[in-house]
Amino acid sequence: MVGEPGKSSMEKPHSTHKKQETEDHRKAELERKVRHRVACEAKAFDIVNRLLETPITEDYLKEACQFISRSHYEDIVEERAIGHLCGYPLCGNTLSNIPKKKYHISTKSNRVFDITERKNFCSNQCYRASKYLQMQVPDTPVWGRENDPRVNYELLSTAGSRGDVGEEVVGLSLVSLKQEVLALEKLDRCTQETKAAPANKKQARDMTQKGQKNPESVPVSAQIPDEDEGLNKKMNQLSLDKGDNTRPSTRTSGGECVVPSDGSLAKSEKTVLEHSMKDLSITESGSHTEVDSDDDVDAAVTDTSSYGVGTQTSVSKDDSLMADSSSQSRTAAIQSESVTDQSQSTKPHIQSTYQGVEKSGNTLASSAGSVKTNETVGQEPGESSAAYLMRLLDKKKKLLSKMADIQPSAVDQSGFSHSNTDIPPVSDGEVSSDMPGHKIQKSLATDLPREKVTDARPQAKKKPSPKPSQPKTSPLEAVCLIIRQWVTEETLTYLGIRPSDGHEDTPRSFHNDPEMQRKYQNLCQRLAGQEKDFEEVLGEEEVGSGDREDGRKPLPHFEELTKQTAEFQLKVTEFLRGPTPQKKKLVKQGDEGDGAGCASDKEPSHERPIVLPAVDSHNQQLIRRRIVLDRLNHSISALLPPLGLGVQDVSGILRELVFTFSFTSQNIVFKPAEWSLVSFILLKMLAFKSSQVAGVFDSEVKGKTLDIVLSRLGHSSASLSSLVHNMLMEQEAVN
Amino acid sequence: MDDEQETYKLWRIRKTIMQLCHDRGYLVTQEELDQTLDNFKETFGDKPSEGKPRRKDLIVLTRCLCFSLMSPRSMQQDNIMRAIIVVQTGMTPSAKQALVEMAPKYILEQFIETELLVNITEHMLVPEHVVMTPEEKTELLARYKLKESQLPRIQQGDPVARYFGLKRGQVVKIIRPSETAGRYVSYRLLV
Repeated sequence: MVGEPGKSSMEKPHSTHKKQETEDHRKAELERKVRHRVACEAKAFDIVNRLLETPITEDYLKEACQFISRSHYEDIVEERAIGHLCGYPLCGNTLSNIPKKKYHISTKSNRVFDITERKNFCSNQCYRASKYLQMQVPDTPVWGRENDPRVNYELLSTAGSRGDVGEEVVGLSLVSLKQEVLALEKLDRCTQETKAAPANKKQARDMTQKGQKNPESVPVSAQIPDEDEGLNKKMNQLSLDKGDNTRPSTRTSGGECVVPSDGSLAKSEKTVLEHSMKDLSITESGSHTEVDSDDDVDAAVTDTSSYGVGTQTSVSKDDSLMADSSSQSRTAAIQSESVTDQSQSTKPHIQSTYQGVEKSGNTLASSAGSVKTNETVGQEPGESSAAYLMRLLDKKKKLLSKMADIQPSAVDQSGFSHSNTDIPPVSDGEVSSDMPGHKIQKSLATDLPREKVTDARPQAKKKPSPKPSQPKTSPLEAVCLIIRQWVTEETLTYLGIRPSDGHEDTPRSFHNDPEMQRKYQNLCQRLAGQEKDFEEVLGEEEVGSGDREDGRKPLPHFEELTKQTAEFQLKVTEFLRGPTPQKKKLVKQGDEGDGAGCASDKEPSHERPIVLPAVDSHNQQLIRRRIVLDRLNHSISALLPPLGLGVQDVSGILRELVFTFSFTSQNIVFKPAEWSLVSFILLKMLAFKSSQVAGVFDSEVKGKTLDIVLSRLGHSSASLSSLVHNMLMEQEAVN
Repeated sequence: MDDEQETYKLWRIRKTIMQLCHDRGYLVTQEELDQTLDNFKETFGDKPSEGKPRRKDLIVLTRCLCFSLMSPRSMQQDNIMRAIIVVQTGMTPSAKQALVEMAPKYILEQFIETELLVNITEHMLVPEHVVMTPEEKTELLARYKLKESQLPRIQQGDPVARYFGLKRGQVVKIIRPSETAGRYVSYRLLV
């Protein structure tokens, strides 16, 4: 360019002209674009203005929505509302009674809605339809849509739909259910791992102890701290408490525990071993037959154990309520025992005892027995007795850890298998903390009155025995198994599966039973009499031997009176505690089998099932029902809204259904996620009773919701229904 | 909100509006400028929740200038070319656009109630603004041999500019007190 000035000067006008041209062109283009934008905006504004008026046809609205953006639509809604017109352009209603509040709290579904937007509409339907349309209106600027495809707007009819109350602020989502289940599964896995780890640790420690050459340097009893003395005292007390008990063998089992801890270091390890072995076999034989002897005390203890040691102080209060005066001291003793036990969990001797008990408690017992005999025989000649003991313990520990692994998978075993999973043990101390519970349960079972159970024991073996060999079941099936235990004849009658027969002596019909009425009145009279006696005693003390009314017997001796009073009180508390279904059954069967004579003269109150009105806190069933209902209310309220049911739709029948169940202390403990499953199953059961609930399961849309929820848990609604159906049918067959 | 508070608010707004009119050069009586709360209550009532005074009652008509305390979008124009709309809450974008649409024919300004609770020009940090007439503006430009674009600028959305209802091209004279010079005068062109 520089070298050719002539050329450049020649070209210059041309290029400037061209530049000018392109510049003009660009300007024109720009102006056109700007004008287009402005025109688009103007058009949108025009449409907004026109949509503020009523009436609007559907076609016009669809057409209009092509030219506006979402913010325009929001403007329309607001402007219409300001003009007291319903915000939905197709609706010509005027707004009246606009609420002043910002939130709406639905008591029906326990949710809070933000109704700031809802206030702009005449009805929930309009709100929903408007929201639906608004979501379709694109958010892109109106002038940038030349090349976009035409949107086909769908309008929601306001006639049929339910409508929305507002934007949900506080509520429960079902997504959390799945997460909860996953988290729990993970927790289970962790628990199992941590359980396995302490066992290894123990093993290692045992190995180091084994390394010590001198058998005298491993004094097992020397490791027992002072607390053990207390424990032994408790044990002694326990055996003393038994007093009239008819089981010397189990008493010795209590005694056996004392022997090695007497502090007599002189005893050789061999004797310790022998004792523990004997101990083991005794507890085994004893507890095998006694699993079901009395449910009440059983319940009290398992309650304690399942709550964990941390809450024992609070639980002990409950216990004192539940248990009668005589067993109260026992429970107290046992509680302190379990505490001391826990603190001494590292002590090998006691652990071996635990293991023995554990084994006897489940079906592994037989195999354990065989292992044990092998061990006794298999002592190597060169091995010192202490080393042998360690080896023995080692084996048992392995077994124990195996069991600990198995336990959580079978959910329906017992109360404390849940406490295992709920409180992940981090140290071996906690692992063994479960064991005392079990042990107590067994040893306690021995000192219960046995007269009434003895005949009926074979039939009484209905309690779910732990099944360690059971393959890992799905949560739903596990829950089903437990609910199967709940179901009683009444449930079937209630659900209409079995026709109700009037003459059956159900607990609920006691009001109509003249015999019961009579007895109840008798009791009341006796109570009144007792009170009178009391007053008399007091009166005598105050006034001395003041003048008494004629026609009364001369006052018996004071000591005699107090004795009687105590006796009565005992009877009354026994009475009020209320029977458990199992006990009832036992007694009934006993009556049928042996004739009424067997128990009649000993204790008239055990002649037939005593059913008193659920008067007070003594009634276990009532407490359990309350727990179950409480949990169910919690879990079911989250499930109902997606199924289109209200709480009030089911709460009544659910309550009635729960009242027909029979609960034991062990089958009402679930994880939170499992409660949801329980709710599902119960809903399914309610479908037999209520056509409304059945309709939900039948309807396609809601069934699908259910399917989705269940599929997250690895089930379909079909499998759920088949499970429930099978359960009920089997139960009926059993009955 | 209770009546007492509401009445006080309305009184303050009305007072600011009166001062605004006065500052813009409309004819406002001194009595109206000095109206106390008690006077206001006597004249209009003290129960806004019961419609005494209704917001509609507070409309001020000052020769072609209409001030109203109204909800957005309900504007009735009766041959009034210029108006100030006082709204309770913000306007929707469409409503604002509607105001702009009317611009050539009607001049509508909008204020939110809370903006008028205090008269900003009375604030100690706000210097004195004087709106210059077209003649003064040309004189200014001639005096300093300036082009319009060479003047410092002020935005249309500036609170003081809105208070005075300035239009594009108008110039304000800002007089600040100065320690060295006593008075420091600067000029701003509205863009």
